[in-house]
Amino acid sequence: MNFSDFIKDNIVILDGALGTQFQAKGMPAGKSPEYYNLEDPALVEGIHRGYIAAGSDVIYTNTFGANRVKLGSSEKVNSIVRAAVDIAKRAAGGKFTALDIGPTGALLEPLGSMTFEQAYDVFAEVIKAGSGADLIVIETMSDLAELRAALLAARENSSLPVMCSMTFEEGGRTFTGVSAEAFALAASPLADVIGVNCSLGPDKILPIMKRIASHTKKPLFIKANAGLPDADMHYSIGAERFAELYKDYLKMGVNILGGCCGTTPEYIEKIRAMCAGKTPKKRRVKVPAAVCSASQVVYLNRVRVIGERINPTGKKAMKEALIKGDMGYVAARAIEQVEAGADILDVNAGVPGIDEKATLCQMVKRIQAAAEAPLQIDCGKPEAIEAALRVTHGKAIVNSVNAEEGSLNSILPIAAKYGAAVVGLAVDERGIPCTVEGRLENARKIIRRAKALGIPESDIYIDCLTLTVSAEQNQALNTLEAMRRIKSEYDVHAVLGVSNISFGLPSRGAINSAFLTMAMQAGLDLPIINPNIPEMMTAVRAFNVLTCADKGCTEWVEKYAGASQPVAAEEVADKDIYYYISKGLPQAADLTREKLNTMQPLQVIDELLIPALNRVGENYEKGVIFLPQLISAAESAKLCFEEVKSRIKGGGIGKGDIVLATVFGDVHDIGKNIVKTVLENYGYNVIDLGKNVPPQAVVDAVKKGNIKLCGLSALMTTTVENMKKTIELLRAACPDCKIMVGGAVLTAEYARQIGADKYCKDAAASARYAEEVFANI
Amino acid sequence: MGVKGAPDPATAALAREAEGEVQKYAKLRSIYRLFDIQVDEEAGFVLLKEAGVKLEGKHLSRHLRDCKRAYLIAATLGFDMERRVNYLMQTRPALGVATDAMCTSALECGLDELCERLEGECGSKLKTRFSCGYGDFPLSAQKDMVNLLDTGRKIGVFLSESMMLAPQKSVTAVAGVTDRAEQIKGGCENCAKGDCAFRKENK
Repeated sequence: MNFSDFIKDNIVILDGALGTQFQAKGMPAGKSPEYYNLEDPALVEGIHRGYIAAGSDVIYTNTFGANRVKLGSSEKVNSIVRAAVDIAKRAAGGKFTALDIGPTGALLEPLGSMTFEQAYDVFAEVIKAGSGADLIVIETMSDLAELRAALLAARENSSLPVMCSMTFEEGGRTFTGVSAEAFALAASPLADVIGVNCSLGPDKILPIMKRIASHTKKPLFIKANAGLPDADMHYSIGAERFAELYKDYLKMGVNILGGCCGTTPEYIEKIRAMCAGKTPKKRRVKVPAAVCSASQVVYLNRVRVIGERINPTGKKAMKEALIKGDMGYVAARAIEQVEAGADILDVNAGVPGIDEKATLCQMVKRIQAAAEAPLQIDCGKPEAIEAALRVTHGKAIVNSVNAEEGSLNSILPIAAKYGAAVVGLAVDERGIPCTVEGRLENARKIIRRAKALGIPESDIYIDCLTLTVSAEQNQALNTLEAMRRIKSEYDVHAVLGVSNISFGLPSRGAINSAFLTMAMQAGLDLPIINPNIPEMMTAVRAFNVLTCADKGCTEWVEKYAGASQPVAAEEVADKDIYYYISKGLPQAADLTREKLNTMQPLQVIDELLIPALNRVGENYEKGVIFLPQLISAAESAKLCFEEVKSRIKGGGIGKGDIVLATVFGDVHDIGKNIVKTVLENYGYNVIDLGKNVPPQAVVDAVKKGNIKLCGLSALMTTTVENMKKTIELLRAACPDCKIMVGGAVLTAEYARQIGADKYCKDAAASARYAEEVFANI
Repeated sequence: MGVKGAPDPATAALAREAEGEVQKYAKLRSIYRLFDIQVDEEAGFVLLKEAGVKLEGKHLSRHLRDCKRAYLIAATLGFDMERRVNYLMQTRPALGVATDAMCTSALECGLDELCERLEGECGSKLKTRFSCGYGDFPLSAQKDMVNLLDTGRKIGVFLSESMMLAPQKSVTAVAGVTDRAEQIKGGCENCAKGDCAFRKENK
């Protein structure tokens, strides 16, 4: 019988800890037990046999850390994994063998520096070498990105069933912040069985398992620790009680049981005995409609706002940022929308002529590093959608499929594979139907086809299409009626881009917010809007109050009751711009506005703002003021520059473009971010490539923008090597670009050695050097 | 934050706010393990006996010269804190840098408290903590430290290929157990790294 059939009707007993057994047999601290597969196969086989004798139906191979990152080479992985599978099969005597895969030990972007693709390759190698096992188990994960890389590697390099589990802290989140619910939502589509291992004792895991169980229809497994260890590594829960605690798991329908750290064959025997005569309890679950990032679940149990601003269509600055690769701009728009109240962020890379697939992936990665909101991948190209879904950590939305055959056949299978929700546009090759019935027909077709691929109704978001009311006035009500009817026929959700309604009319905001309110009343769950427009968010929040979604009007009051103002700045007469900037006060902007009445914009910059900033910089260097004050001053100067920009035709001050990056291998970017803030507030346009940036990516950005100044940061001696590589490449490809460097381990001497033009010891020094470089151009 | 002397009221208020951020988002997790050690000052290494692992470095071996045992320690403030600092750097940079600095200080305080507790546990004094990157104690030793303490599984501290710890506010250290009454002084004046940007000025 194969494993997938076996788990349907049986209570399945896994094995207990391997490491604990090796330690008991005298393994030295710090040794990788995987080497025993080659050095002492009899020892490994003996431990496996102990578990089989104790009653295990499944034994895990001795391969937890058998990956290239930990073992050092692919050859080792290959020989060790193959040997491990052979040993396990010999010991199993017809029972199941599971290829055991643990974390790489390194961390994926954005928390660490390993890329998704690198992690995928590391896992794929193990999976190919372990193809002789009966199933694959991915366990003890704490990062959702790494778990997904392993799951996809398993799915795409093997046809074996896949179990996966994460390790949680007591609050039900992993070390990296993945919640139990997000794990269940994001892993279920890619795994056959999901569960919890390691973490804590069975008693403490129970509430976490309940949360997972309510968010997945997949079979569940538990492999808990024997409680907590004391200083001498004695665990707190004995075998008898451990097995007793598992009774609660059987009651909730968890039918696959084993042990992790601290458990031994005795524990397995007791679990086997406890399960005697029992049969698995069938689980009945209605998974709530939701999308998620790694750390945040957004339930569709009330109106949720999708922010539309990360889309270059009709937005010049966004378009330019995408062309230049300025992902810092994209990240800032993400944060701005979340601050304004967006629950989900739409991500669109549709600029003609750019590599949409690569850009979309870059955007997803950078937005995930900056904001925790779940994402909506807004793209019509199947290949780009799939690439973006691979690197999206949680459960995303695909925007969109329509009722055309080509669209249905290419996009729905991708959404189904990754478990994404999908927006269905009620349009087909004939265009937007002008009748309610026509839209419903298209919607029904999409729903039918999506369900045939296993996408549940609750993950289908129908868009009944907003038309411009000034052109087709009667269509507004048709849109709403179609929405009302499709929701009464199916358990689907409704999504709608709202702002188009008012195109070509004066006072668009009023029409938009009125239409939004009408649409919400007609059943709109997911308005796609600009959350930065206060009237739109007010309409949503008011709707939540009036429909009892905002219980006790708490959120409304919190938002609008006039949050206490910061202590009023001291009243001072006749202060100059320097005073306001140096104190970080917003009045600097008022004074700038005043000065602009009598002075030319560039004169204001050169004669007032830059000298003020220079003085602040000097004071910082002298130790008269400190880093937070320098930053506050830069922030208030930014407001002044914005005033000036608003007076200049086209909005550009044109002081020049500067590329900034934290070098490859380095994720410490606080220094680079400080430099960025300061340079921007001196009026430069900073193209922020982020952290962990490969040398070639820096070169590409410098070339593309014909950049004259590039700043690189590195924290440690280990990453200064990559700074040197980046400089070498830059010198060869872009000889007239000046390079400034900074970071904790750098010195002027060191900077010279690696070929930089300038060592800047802090942000003020960077600004001074930039002045120098651009003065000479 | 570079503040020397008493801060002005605005900076002090900012520091208080940063402290609030740290209290809300930091979760100090630590793990330690006591090893019998053999110190070879001549060859410049410290051998962790049960593990058979050598920690290289003349400065470390000199620092631990009269110790028979040493604790390996790792501690972190966690990823929630890291995400919060990143977020503040985007939304309120001044508070962001202040909070970042506050984190460093909170982590050091946490380690100080842990070491005090360990002194109670082992009944002896502990020497100043010595971390990878101090003197000639190489960053590459991070790998053994992380491995021996199983930090990924136990406290969620991971190591990158370039030997960086994640979360960023994480520390690994060796603390020697000494039976001598007077402690050998640590601190800047006993560190050989003269070019360090954070070296305290001589008074």
